[in-house]
Amino acid sequence: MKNIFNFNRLVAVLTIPIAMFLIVLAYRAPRPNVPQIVGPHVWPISILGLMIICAIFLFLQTIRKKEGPSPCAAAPVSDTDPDVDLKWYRKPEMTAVLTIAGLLVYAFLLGTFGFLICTILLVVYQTRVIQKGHWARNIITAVIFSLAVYFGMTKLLMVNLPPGLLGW
Amino acid sequence: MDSHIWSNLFMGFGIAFTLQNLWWLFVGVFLGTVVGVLPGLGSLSTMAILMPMTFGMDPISAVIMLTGIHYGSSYGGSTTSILVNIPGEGSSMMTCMDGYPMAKQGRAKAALATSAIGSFFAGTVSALLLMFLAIPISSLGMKFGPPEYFAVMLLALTMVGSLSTEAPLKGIFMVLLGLLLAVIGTEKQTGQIRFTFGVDDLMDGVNFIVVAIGMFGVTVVMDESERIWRFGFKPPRDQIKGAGLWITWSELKQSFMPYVRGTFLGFATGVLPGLGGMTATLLAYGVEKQVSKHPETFGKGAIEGVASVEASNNAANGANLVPLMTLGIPGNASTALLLGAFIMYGLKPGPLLMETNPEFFWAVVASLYIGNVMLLILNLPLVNLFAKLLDVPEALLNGLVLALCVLGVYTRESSMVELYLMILFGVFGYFAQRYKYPVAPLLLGLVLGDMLEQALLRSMSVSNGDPTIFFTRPISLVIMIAAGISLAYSFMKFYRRRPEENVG
Repeated sequence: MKNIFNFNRLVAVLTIPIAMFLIVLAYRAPRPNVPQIVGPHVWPISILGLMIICAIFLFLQTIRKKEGPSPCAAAPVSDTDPDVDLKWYRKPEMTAVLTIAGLLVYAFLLGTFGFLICTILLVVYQTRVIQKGHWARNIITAVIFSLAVYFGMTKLLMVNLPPGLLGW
Repeated sequence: MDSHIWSNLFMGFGIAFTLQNLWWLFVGVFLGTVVGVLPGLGSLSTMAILMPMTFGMDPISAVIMLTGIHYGSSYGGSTTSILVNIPGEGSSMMTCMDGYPMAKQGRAKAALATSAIGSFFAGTVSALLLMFLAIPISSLGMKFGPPEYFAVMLLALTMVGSLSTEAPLKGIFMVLLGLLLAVIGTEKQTGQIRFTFGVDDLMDGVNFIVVAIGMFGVTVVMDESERIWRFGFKPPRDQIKGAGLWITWSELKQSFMPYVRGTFLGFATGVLPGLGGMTATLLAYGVEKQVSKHPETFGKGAIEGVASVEASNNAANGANLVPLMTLGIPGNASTALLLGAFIMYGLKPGPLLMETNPEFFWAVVASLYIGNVMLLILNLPLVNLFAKLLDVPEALLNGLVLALCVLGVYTRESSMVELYLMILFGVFGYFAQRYKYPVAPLLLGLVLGDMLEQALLRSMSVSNGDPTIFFTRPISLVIMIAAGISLAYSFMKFYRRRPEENVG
């Protein structure tokens, strides 16, 4: 079957079992001692029920329509499209993946290295994801920005930010 | 009633004219202009990122600043539309149609001037209309009980879900997802914990700021990174000769009626939930072209095209505040954020706002007038300075915005769970945009979800569990019918299109 992958179909196919699971969870949750005309389970079950109906219609819509261009292609694919020849790690979508990877590493290291060091590294890293070179510019901007924010937040606004290795 | 309005307005001016509030208003409109100029970074992302930092501020100052960002961004958005044919904001897209051709013809000054004056005219008129409509709409709102509130919120959600997208089914799905996210946490009436899966940080629910920063901040950074990688950096802007401000008397006369038509069309569109600035500008442009004696000039540098579009855009921004301030109902993602902010500052938006916190309401209205004057002053002589922002290296901007997103979320509760949630919603927003699932309905569902549920529970309590209460009370019945009509209309429009157009 050509083109059975379709994002809308995926959404519909995932929504139905997840919604049913959550309906069961909500239904089985212990009822409050105080009698209620409408219990706390009714609202979530109604929303989930409507989502299932929506998902079914979404699925039916994907069967009804002609398949459009592949939803995975952010740019039109043609013989001259440079994306076709690119290795997976050089495709434009990798910048989005690298952005998320950077954020995850940031979150993981925040407690240990502290806000200042992690933010400097994040700014320099994110800039490098898109553009090679300009190291001096990027590092200087990252350091000034992070110092300004860190001291502004901690000393002026008394906001708690993890000091990490620096201990300031 | 009129003297009541004017005396309240003077009270509002008295509060808005303090040094502190003037300063925060200036910060708001300045930031709004800056983010309006910078493509990619919108007023929504900026409001979401800055919101946690406003919690220590006086609520009036905080809201004045946030609303300043909201309407200030449309001033900035037109600058890049005219000078480099790149809309700084989505609603400034139509300004490119005639603004850039005018600039290419050496008439950049006139385009920028007509844009700034039109924005000022529309902003001021929409503030006047807000002032005069507030009392009758609030009076109507006083007659609302829980069923009417439920119906109005449902109407807002169905309109935003079905009208703000070309695929209404996806819009409704996202509304429902937002409502589901709002369920997570502790239920208010019974204290029952729902769908937290043992995560303590979720006991208070999923915070709308975290979701907004994820979907409007992190997603934007991901999209911009991909765009830059795919298409390269934006070319250096053309040296448009004669940039600066000047407009002749005859050009001003040509622009006047477009200002008026654009303002009223924009206001009427902006008041309705789901119909944003872009709809207002499309409508205004279309109408102006129809009534013009020289429609063939549109798209080639017709000053009327710029005048009407800019007026409608700014009028819509002001009009967005009407349902928010008078009924507590947001009509789009920006006002949904503002509603969330009002609640966090301990304010009760709705018809009672003018009674319980009149100083707040009238100070915000007064700040609209002052803010528009500030924007006119900022934009007339300083337009070249703002245009220079386009020279900031995009890669560096990308990195700084990401750091600001993290800061915005972490400073709220120092919660690692929220940081991971922000990343999750960033990924979610990325795929949602890619596959044309609108994200504004999700945010609206999240912000209104709790209030909608409480209105439902109170209605059921009043009617002893009888669901027909929504259809037996006249106001509620009319609103429910309107909700049904808007849904039916959107679906009919969708299914009438040729199947291959419905790729969504």
